[in-house]
Amino acid sequence: MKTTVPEPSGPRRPRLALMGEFSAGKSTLANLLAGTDRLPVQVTATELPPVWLSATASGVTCVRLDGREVALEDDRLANVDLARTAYVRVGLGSGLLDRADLIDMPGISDPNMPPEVWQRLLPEADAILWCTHATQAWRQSEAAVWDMVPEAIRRRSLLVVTRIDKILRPEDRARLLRRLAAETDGAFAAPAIPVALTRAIAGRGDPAIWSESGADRLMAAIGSVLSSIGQGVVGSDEAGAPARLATGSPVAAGPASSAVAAAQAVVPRRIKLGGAGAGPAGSRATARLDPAQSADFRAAIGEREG
Amino acid sequence: MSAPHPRPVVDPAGLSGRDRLVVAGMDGLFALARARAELGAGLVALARLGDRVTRRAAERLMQTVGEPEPSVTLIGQVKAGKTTLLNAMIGRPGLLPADVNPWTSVVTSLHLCPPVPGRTEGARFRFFDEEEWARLVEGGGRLGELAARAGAGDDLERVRDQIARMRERSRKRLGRRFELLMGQEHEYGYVDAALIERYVCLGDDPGAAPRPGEEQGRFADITRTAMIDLTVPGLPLQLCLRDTPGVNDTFMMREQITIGAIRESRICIVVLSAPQAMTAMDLALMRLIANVRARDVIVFVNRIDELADPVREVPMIRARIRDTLGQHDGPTDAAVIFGSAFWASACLTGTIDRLPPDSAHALLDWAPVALGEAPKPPDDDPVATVWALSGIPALWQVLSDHIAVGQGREGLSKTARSGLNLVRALGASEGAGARAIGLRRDPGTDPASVSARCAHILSEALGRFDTAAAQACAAFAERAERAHRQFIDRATHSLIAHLEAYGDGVVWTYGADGLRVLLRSSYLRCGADLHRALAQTLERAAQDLAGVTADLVELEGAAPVPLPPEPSPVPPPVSLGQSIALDLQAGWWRSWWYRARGYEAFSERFSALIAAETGRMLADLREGQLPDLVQSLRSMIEGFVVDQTEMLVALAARPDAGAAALDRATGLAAAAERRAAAERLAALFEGTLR
Repeated sequence: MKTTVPEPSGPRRPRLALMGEFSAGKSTLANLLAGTDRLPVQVTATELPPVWLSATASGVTCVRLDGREVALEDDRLANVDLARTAYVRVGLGSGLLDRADLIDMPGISDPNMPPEVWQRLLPEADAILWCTHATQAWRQSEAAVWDMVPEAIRRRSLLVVTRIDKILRPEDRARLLRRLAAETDGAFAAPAIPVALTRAIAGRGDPAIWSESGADRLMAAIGSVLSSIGQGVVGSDEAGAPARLATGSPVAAGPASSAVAAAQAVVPRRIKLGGAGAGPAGSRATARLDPAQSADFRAAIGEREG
Repeated sequence: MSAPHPRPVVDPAGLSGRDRLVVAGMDGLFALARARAELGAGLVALARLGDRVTRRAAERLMQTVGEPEPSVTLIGQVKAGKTTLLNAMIGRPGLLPADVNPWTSVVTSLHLCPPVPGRTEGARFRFFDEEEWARLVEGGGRLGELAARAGAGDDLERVRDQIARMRERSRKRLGRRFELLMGQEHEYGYVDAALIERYVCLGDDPGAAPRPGEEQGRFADITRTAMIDLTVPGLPLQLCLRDTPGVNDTFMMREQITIGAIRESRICIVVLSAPQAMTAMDLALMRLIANVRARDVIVFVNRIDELADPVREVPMIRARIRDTLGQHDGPTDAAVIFGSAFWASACLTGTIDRLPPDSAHALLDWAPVALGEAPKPPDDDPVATVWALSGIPALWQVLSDHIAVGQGREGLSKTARSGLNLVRALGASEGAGARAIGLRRDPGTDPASVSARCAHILSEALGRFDTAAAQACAAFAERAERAHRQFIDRATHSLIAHLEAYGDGVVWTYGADGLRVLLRSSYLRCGADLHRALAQTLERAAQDLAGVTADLVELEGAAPVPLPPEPSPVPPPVSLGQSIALDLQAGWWRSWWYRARGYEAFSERFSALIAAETGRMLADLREGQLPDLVQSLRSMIEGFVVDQTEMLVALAARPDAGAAALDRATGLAAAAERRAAAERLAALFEGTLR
């Protein structure tokens, strides 16, 4: 069976695939990196095909397994026929996309999503940002999939520990990271990077929040990954170049100065809040609660106004 | 020894604070406890009424009123929040260590008991023994075995290496004591978090050397099981909750231990994490359990405090769980409860005013919606309200109902049945049922002859049962082996067809559930055959024993036939619950497939793997579970006949006619009163049986 997928046209840029279990923060990360809110984010698995964000494309195109391309007129990602689709290409140039393509993969371990959907696109990626949920980080189902990723790609890839803000005590965070370091020793380009994605999105443009959320370290590491890919990709800016990589390009964490430069280069310029669900939850609750009870109750659980 | 007295059931309204929170939702357990207390009071009355033999039997029965101890196992993926949930359920936040890292591989059984004078809390920890260790190191445990069969030698090496390192670490830390400790059990007359941590929690990274004076995790990597006795104020009855290490960790030994622990309990709570509920691993786990015990699966979706918008997201998660279970033949009728052990812990520690802002937002958002569904908190107390929102009372409610209609009901019936037999036996000797005219003095009614006659009845009964059981087991073996052969054939055909159509570049998967269903129904059919054989054997033995009574006592009317015991339902075929290579589609199977492909004899190798794996399930049923079942039924026959023998011999040993003798001693009026009391008791026991 043919396991390759139709190539996108246009100049070849480094391609970062976002992978992990469903609801691990892949789409949130893609939105953060691209400075957009185009990708639907939800708590249950999003049954979407891989979404390929690229500055060299335009519009929204559904690329079928047979190579045919169908423009999605209403610009909507939903209602794509999963069985016939290789991926959906979205033309977008914001944020990190001026330097790299992002491929938001469907979650692994989704019982309703055959792994072939992301497996067949895997050879197209130059590196992977593997998202793992801090409270249940790095389980066997993740390690097993990671084992199947080619060595050359693994050595350029990053382990992103999302929702780190859900681990409340700093010493617990440190211990979690120590375990991850031991269990993923040598399996990624750099030690695991903890990040609070929703906080980072809310704090775009605020250097303090940006740094506290871990987004600055993540951006620096991605910068290093991109430069290592740049060295490895054959004819990286030629139109229609084959997506083959020179294998075994060694990856080290870049020197501090270049990492800082990279970080500055990829901080999104636009500052925009996420989708409709981002408003304060308390306001909705107030509407439904009996006002008197609500005030007392809110006071009792120490709700801070704002 | 003084006769045990049934405990009065505590009125939950009299409890305060934490204790009152913990028992919220336990209505089913309170009802069960009251039914037990009533039965217990009946047995006390019976003991007073009867002779020495009856009294002893009634006292023995009183001990069994609380049996079997209802038992519940919490399972789920590593770090789904099982331990925090368990701590919250028993009102002891922080008692069992909930680590950010899934280090523990210990199954912890909490035996919960209402406070009883003289019963103290305590703990027992059992270590691995040499043989268990050796098996692990040699074969790499279950994962090693699977990897070896799949030809993935490097996986086997990795697991062996992990285990060897673990052993080396323990040896280094424990020094010469290491060998001494193997197979030991440590017992304590108290229990607290520090003690448990020392035995079940590895503490910091296992690679790191322990800091001087560091007590935590001293024995954790050699501890196999922890049994902890706790008292819970207000708890209506004794029960056991079991915490498991969880599945889907990077070291599959824990998975094996977790699946093994399902055997110990009839009810399973599957704990899912709301931010990532119902992954392929959760689904596999639920199907595995459902194959074994379809009705007693409860799903608790934990960590709703971590949702950004629970009002919108909870229905989405609920729909997804239902849809996924429906699409993949999972147990769609399982109760699904949403909650947060984190909120519950905040209630217990008095910190609901210090929730992190996100958590407080989620709580406020969720409150108006959830309070419509959850059991109403008793008053406007905010702590009680948050407690209701935590989902713990709703969980206890479902759990209590499951216990009450399942094990609870069975236990009551069993005791009532035996109680009724005692009352009837009393009737035979004292003329309360059929009227006794007097004890016969014919030859062959002396105690020794009666005893010999009963022994003969027993050996005949056992002989009949053994013949029938052997037939039933042979029929099972034949059916099961046929099903197994057909399954292997179909799987092999499917594999070859797959290779022809797609080559080895696409992973072939084949569910073992079809085979499980067939084996399960063969097993249950065999179980039904065995129960039928048991019923017939007991019926016949009861008639024979009634014959002995008739020869012993001169009766007005027919001799009462003793009521034979009823067997518990056929135990579920837990061996079918073990994970086999085919179930590991999400992870190992895939990687083995890719690594093995291209080899010669590829399809033969995978067929052989499947045959070996499924053969193991079959062998476990045939050589383990069925013989165990036959043995337990056989001992029921023995128990029944021996109990009846004891009473008949006692009757034969009376110097005088039972009724007349008693009438002389107590007067006729007293005898009539006793008869009326016995009838009331009979009515009580019969009422329980209905």
